[in-house]
Amino acid sequence: MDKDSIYDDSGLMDMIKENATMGKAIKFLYSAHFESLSVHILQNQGSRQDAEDIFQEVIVAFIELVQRNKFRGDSSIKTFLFSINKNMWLNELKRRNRLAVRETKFEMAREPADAGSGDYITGREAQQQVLTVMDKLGDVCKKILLAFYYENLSMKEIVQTMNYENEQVLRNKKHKCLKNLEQLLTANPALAKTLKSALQHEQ
Amino acid sequence: MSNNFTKTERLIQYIDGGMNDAEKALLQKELKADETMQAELENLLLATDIVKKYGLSASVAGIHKEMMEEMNTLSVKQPAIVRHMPRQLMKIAAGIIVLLGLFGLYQYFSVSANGLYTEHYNQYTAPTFRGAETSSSIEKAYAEKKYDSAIAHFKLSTEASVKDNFFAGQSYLVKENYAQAIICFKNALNKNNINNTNLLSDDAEYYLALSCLKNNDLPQALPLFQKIHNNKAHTYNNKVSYWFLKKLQLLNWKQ
Repeated sequence: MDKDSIYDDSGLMDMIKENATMGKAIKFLYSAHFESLSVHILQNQGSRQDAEDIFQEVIVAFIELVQRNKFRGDSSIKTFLFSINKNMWLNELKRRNRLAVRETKFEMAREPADAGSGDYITGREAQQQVLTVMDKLGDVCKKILLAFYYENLSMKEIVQTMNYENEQVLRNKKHKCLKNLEQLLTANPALAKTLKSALQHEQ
Repeated sequence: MSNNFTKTERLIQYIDGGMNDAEKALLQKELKADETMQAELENLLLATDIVKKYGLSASVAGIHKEMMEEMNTLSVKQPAIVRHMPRQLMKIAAGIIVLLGLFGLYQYFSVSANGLYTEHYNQYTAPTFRGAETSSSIEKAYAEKKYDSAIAHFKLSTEASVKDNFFAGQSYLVKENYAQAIICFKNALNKNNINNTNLLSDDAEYYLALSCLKNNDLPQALPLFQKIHNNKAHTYNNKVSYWFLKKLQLLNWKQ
């Protein structure tokens, strides 16, 4: 069975926007596009591990763009993913400070398949900083904030799963956790600036 | 401090969409006038983005691990048989071709008429001389290893027999006069044909072929050796192997 025929592009985008179906959509993207995208990296100084790591970042970036309605569908998802993949790999090569000649060659070969794909480059360093900042919060805060802001659960649902006395206690805890995170950023303006840029906060 | 906390709470409430329109309008008015409050709001918004980014990355990482395990299992099962095996075979085949090529080159450059002759020439041993009744002076002299004498007798003889020609040919071989040896062995074979006899014919053929080889006359030597190789009943059949014939052909090309 042709994998590309299972979901069309608009169906996939709808699935990505819904938390309940996003996992299924991600799995489909992996099985349909990983091998073809990895070829570009393997042919340009990359290893299999590089291809895997970059594809993971490509998927994260693509989902964020879709969820923010920044992917306009001017090109197919396949073409768009290829474009992000290519740009991310170029960025990674730059980061590794490899040959200037190769850098020029890649710049010349860069094709803007869809507006935004070239600009949306999340570096591994920024990704690492996100992990570091979140780890400073502690497990309880991480769980509460993820449940509310990422999983979009209501306070009522979170109270039931995390065994808090009532919603107000949980709300107070959530506010403290978010404030803690905000204070980490306030205390480190350079970090805040880097993360803001990486996460395209100025949307 | 408590005032700050209240402000923060209101900002979070604003971000979470928990304000009515009037509360929102009031806060937005305050924000315009308070840069510190604006900065706090920006950082709170950034904080929620960080949480979302962290959540999404963790979700994708989980699926990534699962998918990679699945895909790598499949790619390990298939290419090991479909792709790597032919590569191994190709390497072995390439190695064999290189070795054969090197072997061929070695043979080409090392093969020589002298070498092949030396490998195959063994001086003919005449039957023990027991009396004068059937042996000519030529055969007798050869048996006594008096090769010059055998040649002298041959030159003086007016009507040399098959045997005379054969032993004269052997004497010439010992004396390294290969052109004369060829003539003698040919005479011996001709006389057999004329007389319809078969005296020493296998020996004459073999030594004639060797004489031609040593005399660098491969066009004559090759058919003779080929004939001996093809005839399983030939006395010298086991001396003329397939590889010996190939070496002769290689020598012929070389020349």
